[in-house]
Amino acid sequence: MALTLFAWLMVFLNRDFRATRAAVKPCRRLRPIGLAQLGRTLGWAMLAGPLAALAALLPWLAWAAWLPGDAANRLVPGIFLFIVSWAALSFWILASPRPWRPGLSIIALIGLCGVLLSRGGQA
Amino acid sequence: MTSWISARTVRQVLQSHSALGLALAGLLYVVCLTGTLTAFQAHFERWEQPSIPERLDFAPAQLHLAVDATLARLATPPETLYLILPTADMPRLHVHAADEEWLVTPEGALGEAVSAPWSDLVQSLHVRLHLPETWGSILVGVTGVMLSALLLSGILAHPSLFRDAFRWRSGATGRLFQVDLHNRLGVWGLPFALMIALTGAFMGLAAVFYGSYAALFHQSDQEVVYDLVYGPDVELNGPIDAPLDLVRALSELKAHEPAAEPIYIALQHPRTPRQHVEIAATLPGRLVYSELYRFTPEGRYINHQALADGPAGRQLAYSVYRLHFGQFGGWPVRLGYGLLGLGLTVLCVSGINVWLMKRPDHAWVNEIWVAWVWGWPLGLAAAALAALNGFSPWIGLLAALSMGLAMSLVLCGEVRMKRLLIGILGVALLTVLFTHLRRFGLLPGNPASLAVNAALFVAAGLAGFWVLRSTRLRAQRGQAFDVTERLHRSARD
Repeated sequence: MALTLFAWLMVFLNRDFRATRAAVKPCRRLRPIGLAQLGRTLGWAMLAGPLAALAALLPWLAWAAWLPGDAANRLVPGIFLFIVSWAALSFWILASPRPWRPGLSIIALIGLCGVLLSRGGQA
Repeated sequence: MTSWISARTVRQVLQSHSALGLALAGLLYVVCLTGTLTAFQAHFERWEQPSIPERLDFAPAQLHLAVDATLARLATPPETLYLILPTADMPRLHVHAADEEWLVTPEGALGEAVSAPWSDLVQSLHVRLHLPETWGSILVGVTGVMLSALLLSGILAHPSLFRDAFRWRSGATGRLFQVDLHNRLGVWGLPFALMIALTGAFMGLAAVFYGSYAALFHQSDQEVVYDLVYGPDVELNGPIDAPLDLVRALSELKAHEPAAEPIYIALQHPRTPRQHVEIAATLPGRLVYSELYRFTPEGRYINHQALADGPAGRQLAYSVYRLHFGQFGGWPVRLGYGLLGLGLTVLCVSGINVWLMKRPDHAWVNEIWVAWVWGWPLGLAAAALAALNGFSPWIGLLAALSMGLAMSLVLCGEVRMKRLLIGILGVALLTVLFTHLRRFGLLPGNPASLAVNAALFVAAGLAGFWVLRSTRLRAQRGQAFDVTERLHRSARD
């Protein structure tokens, strides 16, 4: 925390400000969103949101169900790993130039973990 | 210099960063702004009820009388009755039962009801965006996940991470100012931001994980899963009229764990065969919220829940709250959390500012964003004003925020909008300060109230200074602004 505040102070002291002039930009109406674009955006949102969440959740539920050890030691790290996996999957989906790759990976992950979880786990 | 990441990848990562940021910036901003204020929650609660006498000590008889008075006041005994003991942050003994809270007088009677409507609003906005409990928490948890994704993509989209580590340039048009501000705040604030994102997401989404696990393996009985993680409750079967001896319980705790500092006493299932006493106590040098020590009603030690010395997962889960809200290390940590939280809030704003400045044209989103960014602080100031005058703070917030957003539809020019909103904010903060002083006076005995009033004065002063400086700059280089605003107005007309 102290390092961050100290670094911000250094950045502030190292500032290089000069007189600026607001750029004059033309004022335009935003283009209305077409149905195709709306569908694409909703598709991305579904993929990076609920589907990625499910694909991130199931492996760590399987981990919590199948790994040995104390339940708290399986469940709590599982939650953190679920969060990190969801973040990573969302990022991958939005950054990938070939969206079918993360899409297929997510579907495969959901299917695989679904099968694994359907076989039950330790209580 | 060759970069460690190709330009094409950087472009794709940036695209992902922008898409996520644009989708969530509005919500993230509200969560970060209210979170920064929530770090000072106890101070605000004391500020809202500043005339309550404060003291750190309490008499054991006070506790027994307060328990009797609370049980007498309630029609049916509550499931749990909490006696919240005075601490340095909140030096006020109070009871909490059946969703009601009362302060306890030095004689042990129930005093004023605890009332902090503005602080409650800010906390509820941060924890659940003022939505119904479960859905609101989940939504805030999702913003934590997406903040993690934004931080990850932000670092990958920043190939000149080390070269620019201390740079902050304004450039000719001011766009570089926003880019450098965003990157420096993000890079240096990364450990804090990542910690906040992960712990926040944990608090919001743990219930989803536990619920799914319970649905798959425990016939949807979440209690079983919570018992697995946090340890089970004790089950007693004693007489209903067992005499309560909190003094003995406290002295047994002292003997058992001398370093433990009690923060609250929970009387579980009072006046039933299951009744027992739990004392929550902090342990020095530990981040766990508390350890729970259990006693019979007569004050005999039973066991402790092993929150501080149980499985590592349990300790981790119970440490998340203090870590997220900066409830350790006293006021320097609290102040640090305030500054770093403010940095995270500015990070959200500057990200969208960069995107807006990159756009080749100007549209209504520019004004709406300015209205959203400055409308929220103005709304919170209006909420405080409403609460101080006995009205619902929620109405004050909505009225001011709607006014800000409506202004963005009428007024042309971001600069003018921003100046006007900051000016109104400065006046609103001063009005809050004077309303508080008129209603309660200066109250030198309550340092939290003094600190909040001083912060209000400084914030109002900064707002006034910014408006004056901006007006002077506008007068000096008025031409460019005038041309921009005339262009916007004519395009709209």
